[in-house]
Amino acid sequence: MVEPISISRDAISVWVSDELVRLELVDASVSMNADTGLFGRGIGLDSVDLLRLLISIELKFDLTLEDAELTPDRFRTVGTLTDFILGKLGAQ
Amino acid sequence: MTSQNTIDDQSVRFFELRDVGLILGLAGLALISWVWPERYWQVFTRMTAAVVCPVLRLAGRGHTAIMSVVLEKQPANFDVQKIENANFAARLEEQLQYLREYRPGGWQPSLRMAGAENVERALQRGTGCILWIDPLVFCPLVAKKALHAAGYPPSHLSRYYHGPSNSEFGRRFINVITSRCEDRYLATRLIMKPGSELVQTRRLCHLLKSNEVVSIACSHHGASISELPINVGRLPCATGAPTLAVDMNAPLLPVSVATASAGGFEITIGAPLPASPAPNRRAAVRGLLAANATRLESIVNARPASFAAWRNMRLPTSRG
Repeated sequence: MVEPISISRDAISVWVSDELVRLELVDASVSMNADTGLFGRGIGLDSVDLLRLLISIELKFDLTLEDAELTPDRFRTVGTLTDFILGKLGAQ
Repeated sequence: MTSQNTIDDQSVRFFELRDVGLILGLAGLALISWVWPERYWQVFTRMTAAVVCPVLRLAGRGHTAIMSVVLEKQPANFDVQKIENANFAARLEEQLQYLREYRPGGWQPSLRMAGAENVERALQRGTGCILWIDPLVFCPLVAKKALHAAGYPPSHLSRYYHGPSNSEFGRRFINVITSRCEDRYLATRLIMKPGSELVQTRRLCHLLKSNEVVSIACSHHGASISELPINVGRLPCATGAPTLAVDMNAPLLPVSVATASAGGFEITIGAPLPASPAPNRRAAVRGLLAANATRLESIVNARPASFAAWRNMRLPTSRG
């Protein structure tokens, strides 16, 4: 784990949004919330972008995400991704 | 850079009328590819092109209009209809090559490869390498055959609906005609089935970390698309390969195929596209795309009949 963070839904959601900017996957000027789509007409990530975010998630939260868990519905929006991370942390 | 979502792909039909035509056409081509001597294939393909291309032009399905604009700086004596005919003939010949692969003994063309040292140097870095296959006729099969023969069978990233048919039936029974041939020359094929994009991309990264050779076609299929300037034209191009190269610090080597004057094919693995210093990741990706656009532009100008993506070429909207 890189550094501990408070494990609340809001905190994770903010971290996801910040991380998207830090990884240069989205411009800092883009306003994001839980409903912001990650693909297509949302912020338009492709699978390479998403993988970059995934690696960051695994490092930050000390998670190992299996292939079977990497379904598009879990990565559809900032909110669904946040819920997925929360669920994984709760399951640990 | 524009984007499109390919995660959901629910508009695919199980069967299309076009599949019937494809089956009949492939059956006829299979007969010719097995029975006719290869040295006479061009007689057949050129005659077929001379008949079919005018019909396609009359039906408004030709590419001469876009060719004329994109190739506007060509010498005065160039004949765009001849280029289109030659392009059609080459694509037909490519189908014959695939079908000949199924004949006992397979298809055994003469292959000469240049630039294998670029792969060797890339692998010595330990970061793997990405072969970016040019959108040229003969590239999909010939490049894989040559790489296999040279001892670099690549792991190839492939889209799910890969081939001439867009239906589910076509994917199962028609498109496999080409993909099964190619698979003989691959280490593995990673199929971007809808919903599996992230998993396959992760596998691709693991392969690069293991210092393997991966190949990706330079095509317009992808979730993120950029437009490469080719003279005044714009060629849609998926940004996955250059993005992966930047993220994984892996050399991106362009691969092209040309027919040799003495017969057979010359396969060229280019030096790594220059990763010029860039202030950020997006700029680095743009740099690689621009470098490849410059290469492709010179190839298109020199060998327009070899270019396999005329149908995807666009003109800037500002031109009307």
